[in-house]
Amino acid sequence: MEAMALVYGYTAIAVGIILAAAGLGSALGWGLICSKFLEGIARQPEMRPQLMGQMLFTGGLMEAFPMIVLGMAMWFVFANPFAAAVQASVGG
Amino acid sequence: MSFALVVMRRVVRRLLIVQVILTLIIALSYLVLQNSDGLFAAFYGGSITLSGTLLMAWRIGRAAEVASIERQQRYIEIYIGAIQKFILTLVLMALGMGYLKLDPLAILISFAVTQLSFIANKVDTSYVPVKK
Repeated sequence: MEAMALVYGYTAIAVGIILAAAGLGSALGWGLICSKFLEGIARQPEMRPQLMGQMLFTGGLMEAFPMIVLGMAMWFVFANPFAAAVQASVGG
Repeated sequence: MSFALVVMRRVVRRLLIVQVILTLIIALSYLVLQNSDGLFAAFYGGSITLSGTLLMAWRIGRAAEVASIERQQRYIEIYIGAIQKFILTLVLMALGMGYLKLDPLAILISFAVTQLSFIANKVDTSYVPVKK
């Protein structure tokens, strides 16, 4: 019982750290993409529509990685594989 | 319709097609290698990405509409769209893994692979509208 509580506690901490890292990475990525987008417009204002499209889809690609990390975090929260392993070892 | 919106719609259409194809490939692989449970989970994972892309496409269309009224509103619409996509992914993942008890690994693999379809996508800006 105590082992399970430990597993759930440590998993919660790990999920918090994972989500914080994903959020930080996403924020840094968006910041870089938007700054380069603005630089591009400042250099060549007539390229605005093309740069807008490129920016949004580069952002979409960058956003894919935090989303995958979010999926992993949800896996740890809702179908904790570590808890299942502990239960199996204790039960077996 | 603005040139930016024409480009966006073209790219979103291609992105959706690539994501549907990738979902089908992964789901069929799960069916062959595992069983129908893996098939449903893989379909579910792919559909999370598809719903996110559809939401993004809707938001971009809306941003282009409101931009004609107020330019600043476009960025607010896109920002709201990003938040909605995040929440949608969170809720659908929780629903699939927590409530429906689908295979988490199949959901995650299908979701991750379809997310990477952004790499295969390119923004085609070859069309130049004729000025009147």
